[in-house]
Amino acid sequence: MRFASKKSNSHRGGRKRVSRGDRAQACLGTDLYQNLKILPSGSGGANNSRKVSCMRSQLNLSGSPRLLLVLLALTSDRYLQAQGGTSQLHMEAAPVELTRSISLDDLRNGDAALESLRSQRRAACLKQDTKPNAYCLWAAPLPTALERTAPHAAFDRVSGVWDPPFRSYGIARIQNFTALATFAPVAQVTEGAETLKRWTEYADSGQLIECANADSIPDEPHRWPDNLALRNSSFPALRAVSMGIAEQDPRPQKASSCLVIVHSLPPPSGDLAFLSLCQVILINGLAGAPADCIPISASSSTGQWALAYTGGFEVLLADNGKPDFLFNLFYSRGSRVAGLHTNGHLQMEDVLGAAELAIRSTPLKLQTRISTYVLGIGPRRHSDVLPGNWNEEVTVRIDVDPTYSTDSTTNVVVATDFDLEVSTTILVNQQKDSDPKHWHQPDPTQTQVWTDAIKRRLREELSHLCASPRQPDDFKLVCN
Amino acid sequence: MTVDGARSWIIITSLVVTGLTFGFLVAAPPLGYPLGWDQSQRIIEILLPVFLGYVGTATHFVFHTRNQDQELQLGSRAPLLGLIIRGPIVVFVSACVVILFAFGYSNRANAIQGEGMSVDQLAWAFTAALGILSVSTGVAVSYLFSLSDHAATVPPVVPSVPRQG
Repeated sequence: MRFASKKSNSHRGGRKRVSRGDRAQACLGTDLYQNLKILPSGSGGANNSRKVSCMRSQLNLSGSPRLLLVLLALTSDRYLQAQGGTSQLHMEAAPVELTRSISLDDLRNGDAALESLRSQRRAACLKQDTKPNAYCLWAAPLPTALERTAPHAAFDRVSGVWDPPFRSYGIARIQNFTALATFAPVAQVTEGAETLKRWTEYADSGQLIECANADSIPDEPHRWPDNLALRNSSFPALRAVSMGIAEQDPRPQKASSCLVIVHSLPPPSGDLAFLSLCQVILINGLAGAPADCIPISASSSTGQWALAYTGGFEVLLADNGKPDFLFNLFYSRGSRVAGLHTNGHLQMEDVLGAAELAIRSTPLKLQTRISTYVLGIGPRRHSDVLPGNWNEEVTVRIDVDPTYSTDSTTNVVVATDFDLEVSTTILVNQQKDSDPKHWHQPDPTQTQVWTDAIKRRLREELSHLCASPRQPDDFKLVCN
Repeated sequence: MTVDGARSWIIITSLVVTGLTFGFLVAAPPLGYPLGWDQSQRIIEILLPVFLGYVGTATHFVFHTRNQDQELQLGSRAPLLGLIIRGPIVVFVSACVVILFAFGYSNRANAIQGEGMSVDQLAWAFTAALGILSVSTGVAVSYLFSLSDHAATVPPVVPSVPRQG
């Protein structure tokens, strides 16, 4: 019997996650922070294709602007093909994460790269409006103009020469990528010092901001993100599109989420200290650990940088959810199941329910919510998981991704591989004080303890779904 | 209290406080007291130098050969010596006990989240307690264990005479 595997996207709800696999394929690229790369590099040609595919998919507009952009896309696509998939447009092999590895040199190199790009753009303009961030008329054919003016950005954002002062990053719903925003020296950011002061005050107080009755993160792949950078776009149509694009959880119930600015996530790197913007999930009125953090400012004794809409670069703003691990449940249609649903086959709902029960019950005891994924939060509390006298704050998210294997002759599903991707964000504190600065990431041993606890509970609950479970390894369960 | 008695008292209490502080703060993390190793080290760094300074000054005093025969003369203020030597140390030790109890109690397993004493507050409290010593015992030590001529005797008290107008 020949099987054909088909990955389902139908159950990936809530947000576009940047998991390890996705990260390598994200529709982004820049060499501004080359030194920050912690991702495996892919091939340039493959990623060029991917990039163009992403560009097209993002052009989900209507009306004449759409036509214009599609034409531009096709032009760009042909140009890429003419180049044989090489990196003539300087589209990088892998996206860049702004996460834990930013150094002072990276920031300085970024300043220089940004200045260089601006110079190149000015040189490509035949005539430029005197207004800031205004369009220029190209002095060269489109491909050349693209090469000179948008070497690192999606082609549809090529037109402006963005000069300082740059607008600072607007605190908005977290998304996994923010176009055209990079770190800029605070002196080059509009009201940079005031903005940094305000962010610091938010971080000092731990105040929840921008609360909404939604899981806040647009999910659907290829959908335009809720991105303030777009509102700064020179395409008027895009502004309108981007205003209302935040997609709510399909079943948000009464849950909501907020944002919070925190210190030291990522941890200080030498002389550099960071402020990060994170998402806080609320369940039953209780808040979990700040998750999905992106750095928004960096400070050292020699300078301060703030995330700002600088134009020209796209930077992947990745979360710091950790540890991530995959747990796999393999179920074939011939297996006997102790399923919760009546059709005799293991369903997505069964797996989600088991995962929810795993983190809701002892010893994890999280507040939970099931959507197209499982969310669990543990508000600040004494830890029953970590040894010693520790307090913890936890956010856990479990995405279930089924892969269906079908009989190629009858096209009937004969087996399902359920991949459970577990992401946790844990903050710990040995004291019970409320100062946000004192809640820090656990050490590797504590992280491992938590990971093991989740894994153990998942294994226990998932094994209840099978009549005869078999466990080939720590990360896999097979329903025999 | 005699001058020698005061010196002995300072030396003994400094050694005892040093030993107890060091012992407690080193033993606290593994015994479940809500302090991490680095936090414990931070408190040791605040507390110990003061008492080690007293012991070091006393040691230097004992083995220094100059001015061995000179003695501190307190005159009519001698009765105050006991109070000024013992009082601050007793207050300091009492404060430390209360601080450590409050810290441990507010951070016990079933304490209310958000109401616990932070390490910053603990450090602040110890620093405040040390302030009592620095304005009293520290000054006393500088006289009691002084090796220089000018501090060997306290200037005699001159009764104030009303000015003749």
